[in-house]
Amino acid sequence: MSKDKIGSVMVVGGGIGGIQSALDLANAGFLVHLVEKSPAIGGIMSALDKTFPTNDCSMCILSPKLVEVGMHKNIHLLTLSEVESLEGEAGNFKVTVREHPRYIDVTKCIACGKCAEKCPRKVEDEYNQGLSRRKAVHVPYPQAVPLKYAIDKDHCIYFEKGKCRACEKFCPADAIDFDQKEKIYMLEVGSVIVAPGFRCYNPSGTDRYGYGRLPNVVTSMEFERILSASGPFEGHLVRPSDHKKPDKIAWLQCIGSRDIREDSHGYCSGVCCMYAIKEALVAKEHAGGKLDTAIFFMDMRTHGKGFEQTYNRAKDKEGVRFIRSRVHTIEPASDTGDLSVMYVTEDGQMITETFDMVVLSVGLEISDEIKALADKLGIETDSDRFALAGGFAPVATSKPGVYVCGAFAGPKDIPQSVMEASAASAAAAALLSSVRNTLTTEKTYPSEIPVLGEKPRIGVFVCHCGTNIGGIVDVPSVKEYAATLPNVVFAADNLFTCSQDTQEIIRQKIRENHLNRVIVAACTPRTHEPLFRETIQEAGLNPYLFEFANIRDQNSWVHQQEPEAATRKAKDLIRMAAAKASLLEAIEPLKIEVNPNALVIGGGVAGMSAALNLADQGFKTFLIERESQLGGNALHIRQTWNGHNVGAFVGELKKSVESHKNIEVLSGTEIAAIDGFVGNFTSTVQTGDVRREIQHGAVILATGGRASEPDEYLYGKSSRVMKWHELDYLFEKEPDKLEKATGVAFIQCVGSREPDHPYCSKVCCTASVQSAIRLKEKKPYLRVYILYRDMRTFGQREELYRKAREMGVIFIRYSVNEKPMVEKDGEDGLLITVRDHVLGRQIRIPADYLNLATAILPTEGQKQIAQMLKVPINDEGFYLEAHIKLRPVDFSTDGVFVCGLCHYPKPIEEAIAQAQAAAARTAGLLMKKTIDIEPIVSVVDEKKCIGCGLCELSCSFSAIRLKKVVGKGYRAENYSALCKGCGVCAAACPQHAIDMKHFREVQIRAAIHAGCTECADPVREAA
Amino acid sequence: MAEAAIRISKEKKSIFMDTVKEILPDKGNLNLCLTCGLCSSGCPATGLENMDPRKFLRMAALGLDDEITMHPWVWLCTMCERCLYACPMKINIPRLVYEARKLWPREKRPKGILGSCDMALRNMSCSAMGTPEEDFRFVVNDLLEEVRANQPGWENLQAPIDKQGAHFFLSQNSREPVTEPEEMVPLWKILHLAGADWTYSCTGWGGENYCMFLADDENWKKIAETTLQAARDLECRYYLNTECGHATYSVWMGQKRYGIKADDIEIVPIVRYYAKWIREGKLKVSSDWNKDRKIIFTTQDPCQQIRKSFGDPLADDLRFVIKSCVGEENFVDVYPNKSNNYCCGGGGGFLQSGYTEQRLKYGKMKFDQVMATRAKYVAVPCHNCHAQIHELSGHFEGEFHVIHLWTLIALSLGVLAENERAYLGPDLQEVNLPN
Amino acid sequence: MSDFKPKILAFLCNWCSYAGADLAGVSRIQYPPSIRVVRTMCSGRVDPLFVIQALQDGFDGVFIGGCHIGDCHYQDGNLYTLHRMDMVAHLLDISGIGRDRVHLRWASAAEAQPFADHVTEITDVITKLGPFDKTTHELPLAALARALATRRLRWLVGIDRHISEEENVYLEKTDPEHFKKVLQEAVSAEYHKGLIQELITRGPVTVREMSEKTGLPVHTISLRLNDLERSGVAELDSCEERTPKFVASAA
Repeated sequence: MSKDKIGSVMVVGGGIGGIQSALDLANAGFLVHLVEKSPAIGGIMSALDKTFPTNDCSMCILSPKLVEVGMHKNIHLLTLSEVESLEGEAGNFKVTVREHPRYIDVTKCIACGKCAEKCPRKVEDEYNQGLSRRKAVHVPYPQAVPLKYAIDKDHCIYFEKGKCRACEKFCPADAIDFDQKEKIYMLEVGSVIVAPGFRCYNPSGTDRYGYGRLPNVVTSMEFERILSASGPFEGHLVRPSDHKKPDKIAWLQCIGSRDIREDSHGYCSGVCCMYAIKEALVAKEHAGGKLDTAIFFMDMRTHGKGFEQTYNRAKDKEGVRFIRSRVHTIEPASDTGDLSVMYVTEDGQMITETFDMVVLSVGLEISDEIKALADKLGIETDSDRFALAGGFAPVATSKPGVYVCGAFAGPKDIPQSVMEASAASAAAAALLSSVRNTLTTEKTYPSEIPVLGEKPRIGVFVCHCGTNIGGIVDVPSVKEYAATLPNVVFAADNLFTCSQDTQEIIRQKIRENHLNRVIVAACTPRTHEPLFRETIQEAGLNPYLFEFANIRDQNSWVHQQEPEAATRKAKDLIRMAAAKASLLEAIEPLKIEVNPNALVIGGGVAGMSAALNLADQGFKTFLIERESQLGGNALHIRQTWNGHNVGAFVGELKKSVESHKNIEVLSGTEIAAIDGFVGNFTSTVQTGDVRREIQHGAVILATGGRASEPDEYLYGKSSRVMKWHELDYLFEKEPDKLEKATGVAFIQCVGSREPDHPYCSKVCCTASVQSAIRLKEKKPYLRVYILYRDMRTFGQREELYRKAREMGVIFIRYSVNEKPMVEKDGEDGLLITVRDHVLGRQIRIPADYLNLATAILPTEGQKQIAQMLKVPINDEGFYLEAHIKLRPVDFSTDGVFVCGLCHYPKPIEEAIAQAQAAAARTAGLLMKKTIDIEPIVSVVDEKKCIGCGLCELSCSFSAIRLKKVVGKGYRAENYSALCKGCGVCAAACPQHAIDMKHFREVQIRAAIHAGCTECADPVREAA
Repeated sequence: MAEAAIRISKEKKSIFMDTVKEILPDKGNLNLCLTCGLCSSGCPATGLENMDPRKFLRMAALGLDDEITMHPWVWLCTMCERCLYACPMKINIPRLVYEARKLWPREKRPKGILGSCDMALRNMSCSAMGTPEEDFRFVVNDLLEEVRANQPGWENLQAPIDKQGAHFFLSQNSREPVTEPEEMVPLWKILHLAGADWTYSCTGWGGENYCMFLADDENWKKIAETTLQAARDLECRYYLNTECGHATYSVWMGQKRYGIKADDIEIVPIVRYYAKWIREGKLKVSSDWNKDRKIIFTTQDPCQQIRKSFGDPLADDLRFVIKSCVGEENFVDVYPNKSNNYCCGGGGGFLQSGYTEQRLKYGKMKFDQVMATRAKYVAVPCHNCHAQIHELSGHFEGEFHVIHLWTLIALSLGVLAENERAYLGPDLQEVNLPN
Repeated sequence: MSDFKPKILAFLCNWCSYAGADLAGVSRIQYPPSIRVVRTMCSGRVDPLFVIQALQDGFDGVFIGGCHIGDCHYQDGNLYTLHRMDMVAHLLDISGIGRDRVHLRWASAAEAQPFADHVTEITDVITKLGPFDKTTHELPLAALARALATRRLRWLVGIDRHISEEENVYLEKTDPEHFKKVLQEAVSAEYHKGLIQELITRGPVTVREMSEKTGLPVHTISLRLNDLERSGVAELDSCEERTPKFVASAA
């Protein structure tokens, strides 16, 4: 490893993975060079319509991140750029980057679109999957970052024929520059993170789907664009051939996946089941519920958090049809463009159905281009072309100092990619911790425009949010209405108010119109308020002069059938916001010091991994473990899905943790209490009879999980019925038992995917398949049966399932309505009766042993810790993260992070990645000496206070206390750093002597009043 | 619904599927089944005898050998390989069916197939009709004489037998010499016009192989060997198959499967040469006759020649030939087509196995597919397809005609005599008659 | 009346019920467009006076949404809300407006469907009640506002939890039942005083007139008026024949 480390990191790939890595690192004191091949960052996520399982608008949740990257001082964005070569070693690399000319001067381009308007050349728009056309000069999508046009040399008439230059003639900014040349950069970085993403499988290679021949057969990616408001049909669900609204749509799963033919891939792509469900649900929503949707599948792989519930909802409530059958060929039903799908039911009955459209759920693959990148970087790939990443170092490539995240390291969904992105940033940060903050610069804002005593001048920005709002609410009329409100001097509507160009527009309008209050009527302040506060701050306004009107999440989305009422409601909400905004005041920032120590609760693999990374990054870490030794559930696991030895790893990990100078392990220790807040926690821990207080700045929850105890299938009643690793143990301890056995069976989903635990425990299918393979390896003629509901060997684990079948393991699918029956077969065995899913006949299987894959539950005591920290847990008892897609290890409560089984059942390498991600997020906090905290705190009017002390009594945070005032007895005093801003004291004060900043009594009352001054709506008057 | 449960036996015994796996490369992937149902959804035999490919494989996998043995479905599956073509696990179910046919005592196998196989073994002609060499020689020469005498311009027409060193060795399906000899003439004319140097042989001329359908490996091999040997004895360069799918496949596959020595000879389908000769201008076909008539033609891709052996390139040649003869605009393809086309149900010995009702049910898919094209004619280079589709047209009242390519090519060349138009409809009886 | 679409003011806490409402949107769960939301950080910010103001401003009803008990982001803010809204409900009952105009519900950040169900249910209840006529209830509302602004009620409702759940300075726990009694007495007393105060503020008025306007017995009026006189809020204005008239003291 190099001694001269460099405090910068190159991130290759500007999709969600690369974006997250870049932000984490840039916020943790490293300069980031973000290299993107295309003209804008955003990747595939930017082209998705919605994201599962919550159906969040993809652009809405991504856009703030795009904007943050675009505005970040410590992220150097290189678009249209490719890595040419990599030299050097971990800590000190030299990277050669080739930047292709954009032929547009980005410093001049104002993204007015004049060039594209005048460009005479139309080409297929790859962003819309070729379903529409764009010009040769273009921006990929309206929210693109950077929002700068680019000339597509391959299609430009000037480059073809030597003349045209229409764009140049019309560009008002003089930004066209045909003389731009390729540039080569040599960049020195300490580490490289590779996040090139994936490519969708192209189904045109086979005649069976008719893709390319039958226009109404589309890929899932094309369907995303069809659904999207910014897509080729402006979000109207119509089919390509004749723009007719479809009445019936079919999804075909596993296109290009789970298929060992040469033109396909043997692995499972991991995400298609969920995205198909999502697309079906969203399509139904678009069509007003009348749409018939059918998903043709083999195994429904809804193994992620919240997925099974979405599947159940789609099936039971929304009427999405799930048909377990793979289809041979799609045929035209007639000349009308309709499509005929023939399939067999399980009893062999052939059914022909006609659909208006068929969506091919295409899988993920690694393109030649990405493979070439891997070769240039010198990192190894596997036979499926995915980057080889170590089992226990899930983001480490074969080359030290180079890390990987996202789908390039195996098929995966967005949260997993985001988690890995943070993990990769943690790994890079650990490598480079000694040179943190050596190349970064601080963000500064213009000095604040004083507003005190000025008459309010409010600007209102109403968002269409594509069609999310604009499709229901009459946005133009809302905008016009807003302009008539008191103190409103400017009103506008925007397609996407969160896009980077709109931020510039907002700043510009603030300057032009001397606005001193800003209202955005859009989604929800819970996700987007920080962005807009930042925006107005950059225009010189105090960030608290901003107000939000939630006209999407709490309006257009929940009143889809009542556009007029939704429009009225939007007007009311904006009027209320304006009333409050008129009374908003500038609030001074509050800074608090951060204790740089971390506390990790739980000494399993996740907790140890998190602690080790933090310690490597230089942070003192306390690791609390309830049991007498570290290791947790991993102590019972033999190997990872891809065969790495877990025992040896856990041993090594324990050793590293226990001997690390920055880690203090407290085993046999329980948490008695946790007090405090971000940056300043005090935990009371108890080891035996000894109590101790620990000060720390952040907490990582890694409290783990446990297997449920079944009360079915003779468990506990027969010694031949076991669960999880017990069977493996038995055969290891008593090999003669295996020797004598002739048959062994496994039952899956014992307790999972049932009303008590409606989720999928995710790891059990792989575990049983692995166990079956081991048995077959030891004894090839042993009969092994796996009784399952859906075989969920997701991703490259599919190879294990294939291998198990190849070895002769018999897989029998049972229905939850007709579970297998287990009885004793005399003294020497078991008899299992199950209905075979293909033959529809009862089969009686004699087995010597039965192993049950029981549900994984959160550990006991998880709820108590959740209460101490005030973090939420979901219905199943697992911790509920801040955002399932983009904040997978954070909580809404600052300073608390989560990883491992306590978040959701997951395999070991995912737990490690999540632990490292949690460590990255924690380090981003702990590295700061001080952090800004929300200055929304209570203020006491000492003149009104009579010193009754009710406020002190009511405050749970000791943020308001009585102090002696000479001659007056007692008076209340604020401790703002401790104040959480709840406002309980203000509502309690008998003297009305306490008020809350930003939630002042006059502000709230003004909003209430505004809510009703015009509440006599026409309907009511008529009544 | 009180069907008895299947009790899996505790003892490991050698089951049928295991034995099949042993003889197949990659064990036929037979264990890999995902039970996804794709095979069954693309199989016209699904549902016949309450069976389908997935079920059949499953029964084998669970060791239900007793139920598989003597199951009639094995004679309803034509082994067309449409399942294998698309199976995500590349499972060779047709081969499993082939082996399951062997579970039937030879004498219990369908009489039609058995008889045809045995007949072909009676002499060296390989003719499934047992036609001896002298009969064949007589029919050919007699017919040739007649054409030379009665059809002006064909005085020099050749139909050589046992011509040493000929470029092409041509096989001949027995149906023509035995039941409709004049059907042979158009092909002779085509070969003549193309200037092909060809010959029949009096041994091994029979272009059929029912022993293959009978799952009689020994005799499949024997017949393939005999016919290939005849070609090699005459020192021909190409073994040219007549328009017969299974004959083509039985020789092509038989050679590979049994390792029959044939490195000095190439086994080729005749459609490839039709196309070649048209491209080279040797066959000056014209579609002018159909310019105003606009009679729609379609085709069938014989499984044995396309999907199972020569693939899409040959399917493209097939279309090129037909389009050249009828006009591009008058050809309407069936869907799906080429390698992914449906089996008509005539192959695999189905026509001879006696399961007529099931065969017609099987063929309904093909019938509907043809009807969807609105074609009046199906041009197909395969005897079994020809016979089956012809029968389907009649049975389901489709009112379309089925013809061999030789008929169509000769028609388009203007050399199809009146008595060579048995399969043409009344609309084409008078068209493009030779002067 | 079936066309009546009520307008309901909703106070939602940022962490649970507001998040639950957002999730309902994300999940596209539909509910009636009746509520107008004021976001507060905690339901504990909701001063009972805000609730009364909403009715005075003409809303047909009020919905307060908080975290489930035990899940409050601020530990126990919602417990204060619970006690306060209990008191509000009681006051609404005795004022004749009825407690069904104001609803307190818990919904977590994950409870999209329950949130939508709450809105639907509350909307149904208020739709059945019909439009809220703020003019007929003008006097009781003004009295409620007065009562809820009093030091006495604010102190009592604030101290409730502390003296019934914990020990007081004399290491005694107050019996919750007993406390409830005390509180209820205080609530009606303060409400009555509020009514009287409101009337005397509007000009000289006799006890009988007050009784007619408030529906309270003459005896009760006299009693409360005495209190008000003692605390210097009310005073004798004049005597018409032999009937005294009272007015509010000049501040």
